[in-house]
Formats: sequence, C-alpha cells, structure tokens
Amino acid sequence: MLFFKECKKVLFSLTFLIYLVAVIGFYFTQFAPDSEREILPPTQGLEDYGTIAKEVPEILMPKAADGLVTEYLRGYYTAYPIGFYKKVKLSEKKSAQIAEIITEITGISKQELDDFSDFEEGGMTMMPDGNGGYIPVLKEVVLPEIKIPDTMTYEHFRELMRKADKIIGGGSDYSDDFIVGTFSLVPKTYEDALADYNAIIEKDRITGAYARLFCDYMGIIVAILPVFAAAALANADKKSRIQPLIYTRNISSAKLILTRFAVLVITLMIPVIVLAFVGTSGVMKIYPQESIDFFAIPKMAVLWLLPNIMFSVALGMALTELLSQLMAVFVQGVIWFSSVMVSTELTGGIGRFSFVCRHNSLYGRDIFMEDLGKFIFSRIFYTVLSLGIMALTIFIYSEKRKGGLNVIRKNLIGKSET
Amino acid sequence: MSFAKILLVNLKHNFLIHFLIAVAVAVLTPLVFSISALDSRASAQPLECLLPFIGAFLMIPVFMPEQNPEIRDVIRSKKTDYLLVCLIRVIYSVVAVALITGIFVFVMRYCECNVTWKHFVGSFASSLFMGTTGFAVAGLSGSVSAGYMTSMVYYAANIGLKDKLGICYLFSMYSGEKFSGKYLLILISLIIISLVFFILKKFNK
Repeated sequence: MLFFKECKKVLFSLTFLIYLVAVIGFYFTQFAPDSEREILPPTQGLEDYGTIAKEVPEILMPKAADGLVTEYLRGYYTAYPIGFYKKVKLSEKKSAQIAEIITEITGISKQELDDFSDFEEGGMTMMPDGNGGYIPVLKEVVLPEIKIPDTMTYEHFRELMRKADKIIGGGSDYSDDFIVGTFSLVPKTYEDALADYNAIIEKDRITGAYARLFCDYMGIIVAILPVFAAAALANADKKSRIQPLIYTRNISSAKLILTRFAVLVITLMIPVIVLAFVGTSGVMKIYPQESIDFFAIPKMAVLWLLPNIMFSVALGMALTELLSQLMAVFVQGVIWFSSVMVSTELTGGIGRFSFVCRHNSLYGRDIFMEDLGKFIFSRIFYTVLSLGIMALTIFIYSEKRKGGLNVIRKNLIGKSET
Repeated sequence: MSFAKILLVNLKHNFLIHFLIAVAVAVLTPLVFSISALDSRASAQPLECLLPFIGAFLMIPVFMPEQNPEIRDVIRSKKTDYLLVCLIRVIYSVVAVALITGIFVFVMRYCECNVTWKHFVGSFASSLFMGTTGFAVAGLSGSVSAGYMTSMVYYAANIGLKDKLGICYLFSMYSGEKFSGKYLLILISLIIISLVFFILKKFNK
C-alpha cells in the first residue's frame, strides 16, 4: 500500500533521523529542565507580580501617543501585517498623514515635529560597566512634550489609531489586535497573581500550564525542520531516477501528493506526541496527589503544533516541485526567522497571523487567555493555508506529469526542466 | 580540464543562484536588525545572528550538482578528479563568504557602526562554521537536504543552549564571550572540511 511504502521511505531517511535527534534534543535541553519545576502560589507582599494587559484609556492614550510620535521621529514603523516582522518606511505623503493625526491628538504641528532635534530613541542598550564588560541599561526616550487635550474622547482616539494603522499598512502597534497589549499594561496585584495560580490548578488542571510551555519550546523547532524532510521526499524521485516511471503510472496526482503530505505530517507529528506523553508523566511525578489532565499536553500539541508542521511540509513540497529545494529552504527560513527571531515577546503578543506562537512561561495563563481568540484564528489560518498550498502542489505536479510545467517555469524563471 | 575552466564552468552553472540567495540574506539583514550607529557589541548582532546563513547557503551546495544523477554520471566519467572539482567549489564558496561578510562590515562602518577587523573575523568564523556543519553532512551522506537541516538544527541549538556550546557558540561576540574562540572556530571548520575530503577520498565516494 502506497501509504506504508511512503512511511517506510520517510522513517528510514536521514532527514527524519536528524529531525528525531533535534526534537528529542530540544525536549531534553529546553522543556525537561523547566518541567521539573513546581508551579508555586504567589507570595504575599512582593513589590512586583508582573504586568497584565487591561484596557485603561488613561494609560493607553498617552502611551500610544508617545509610541506614534517616537515612530514618526525615528522615520520607520514596526508592523506585523501577516504575522511577520516588517519595517515600514512611509512616503512623504503618508508620513504627513501620520503627522496630521499626531497634531490632532497632541496639538504638535508637523513643523514642530520635524524641527525637534533632541529626539532619542529609548530601549535597552549595552553600556561599559567599567570592568571591561557590558551591562544592559534602559535608555529613556526623549520626545517633545506631549499633552492630550481633555476634549479628546477615547473612542475618537482609537479611531485615529485605526487610521494610523491603516496608513502604516496594518498589523502595527496601533491596530485593534495589538494596541491594548502594547500600550495598556498595568501592574498585576497579589489578587491577580493568586487568581491566575488558582486558574492553573483548577481550570488548566496543572498540565495545561506545562502544555503551553511544551508547545512554546517545540514550536521553535517544528516550525522549520519539516520543510527539509518535505524537500528531501519531493526530491527523492528525481534523485533515484524513478520520476519518469511514476509520471506514467495510473495513480492520480492528487492521491500521490496527498498521501505523501499525510505521511510526512503524521510521521513528523508522532515524535512530538510521544514526547508530550513523556512530559505528562514527568509532571505527574511532581504532583502525585493532584488530579491532572493526562491528555492536556498531547491535545495542546495537536492544536498548537500540527498547523506549523502542516504549513512547513506543504510549503516545502510545493516549492520543491515548482522551483527547487533551495528555494523551499530559503522561503521557509525567512518565514521562520521573521516569526521566531524578530519577535521580542516570549510570552503574550500572539497575533491573528502568528506562525510560531510563544508562551515561554508556566505562569501567565491570563495573558494567554487574552489572546485565545487570535491564537485559535492563527491555527485555523495556517491549517487552511496549508491545504490551499497542497491543492496548488497537486496542480503543479499534474502539470509536470503532462509536461505543462515547463511553460509555467519558463514564465516564472525563464528556465525549463528537462 | 584546466583549473580555470573548471572554475568558470562551476561559477556559471553551480554558483550563481546560491550566491544570489546569500546576497539576499545580506540585503535583508538591515530590514531585521538596525545597522546604523551601533556600538561594538550591538554591531555583533546582525553579524552573528543572521549573516551566518550565508555560510549555509554557499557551503552546503558544493555537493548539490551531483544530486542530479545525470550530472553525477557525467562528472564521474571524466578524467578530472571529482573531489578536485569539489575542492574548487569549496574554495570559491569560502571566498564568497568572506567577500559578502567583508562588504557587509564595510557598509556597517559607513553607517557609523563601531566595527573593527575583529567583527569581520568573528562573523566570517560563524558563517564558515555554520556552513561547514551542513557541508560535512551533505558531503558524507550525499543529501543536501540533510546538510541544510543540520545547519538549521545547529542554529536552533545556539538559540536553546547558548554559551553551553563553548567555542562553537555562534553568538559569542554579541554575548561578550572571549574573542579567541573565533580563530579556533575557523581552525575547526578547516579541519572538518579536510576530514570530509579525506573520508570521501578514502571511501572513494
């Protein structure tokens, strides 16, 4: 049977072996040490319990105004239009439109903004510590004095922020998706921290918290490695010279491609699921008296990581069929890098189009739940997108069998495949 | 076939696309990391976090043309030693890594970053070593995909294990580790490349 033949091919391939070593290695070096830690209730009387995003207009409005002025003065805007980092530089016309919004909010004219020469971008910077080393130092941002008039209503302010987001191209800090999480962070109280702890024990049944951390770590690796296995499998026919033989067989392109897709997704998902159960058994040892959810980590792994594997496999198969494995690796590499390395948020900040979702903590259930809708949207989005790419792959493969792909390739890259 | 002819044919048919991808990585880097007016340590971030990918994109494809069985058969039937052809490819790939890194460091200097010769050596060492990990696996296994994958796993290990990797830690300049490790990294890369050729020769691959 085709399915088992392809399974054998994948399971005995070098790329699968490397995948297995990497996934197991990541589990034992990253998740395992953290999973040995017990989740503790908050201690009363601490100064800092972290922060939480709450929509408080009095906090959000001045912070968002500061953010917009900062980005206007530095000359570029940070955005995640489809979940990936983008540094947006606006044209003079659009920049003037942003200045108009700033003027409406703060009363500072475009001329005053452009003439402001003391501007300094804030953020963490490394400074010499005097002993030959470096220490991180928080540099204060220097901006013109910003005062929002009392006549500015919160609703109108949000409307202006939406307008600014539209000018930037969407996915900016001023969008409805990110504005609260970026500009309206309030300190957590002991009661907030205790409520979060209780929710982890009662609603997450403990393993839910470990599930988020498990998926956070494993997501880094499973969002990129499947592309190599997919590219290798798609390339294997060419390498073993059986491609012309397969082309002449009766089997439909859809059946062949979908079987290979299913085989790759299932075989690459199995080690993750096995490790999810291993993780669960580790957590059970820490909480022998508690009634934990035995399937929480595996269930979360399917919901969180399966779309990553599906997308990576689909893109790898499609681009290898259409162009080459080099292009598949490059494109997936760019997507992975802009999703994992560029985001500074290790916990929270999950967007509708986030490819690799992060939650690098056993705590902060409330932060995750805030983004739950966006998280689910992103998982559905990548699942549907993967299936769409697979439909395209079937089309590409059938055209290749018929010889029609040479026309597509010529149009795309001016090169035909012999 | 003369050395020059082998070089020209390979540059024309087996190098250009990989070189363009490596250039694309260098061109995309300023979109991800700022490269203007950075101090010495901050300058190491783009040089160590993103530029090493050029090593992978240039070194691993050394064995790529022979992934096509027709080309492999033709190459093997020639009088010119196959490994000599591969060695020429390695040499121009390493030169290209140095060239792109050098130009990038020069651009950073032009953008008022506090970069020195050490930044060039450090970035080159990271790129070379990341490329060498994949080169070794691709060469010994005959699978370029496995080569790319190995380099990627090595990169991911750097994110997770950090300075536990010792001198093999890619982001050591950015993390303020000892610089001398970078010279060792170049040496280790050269030893691995030599070992790969030795094994391929020995087992007549």
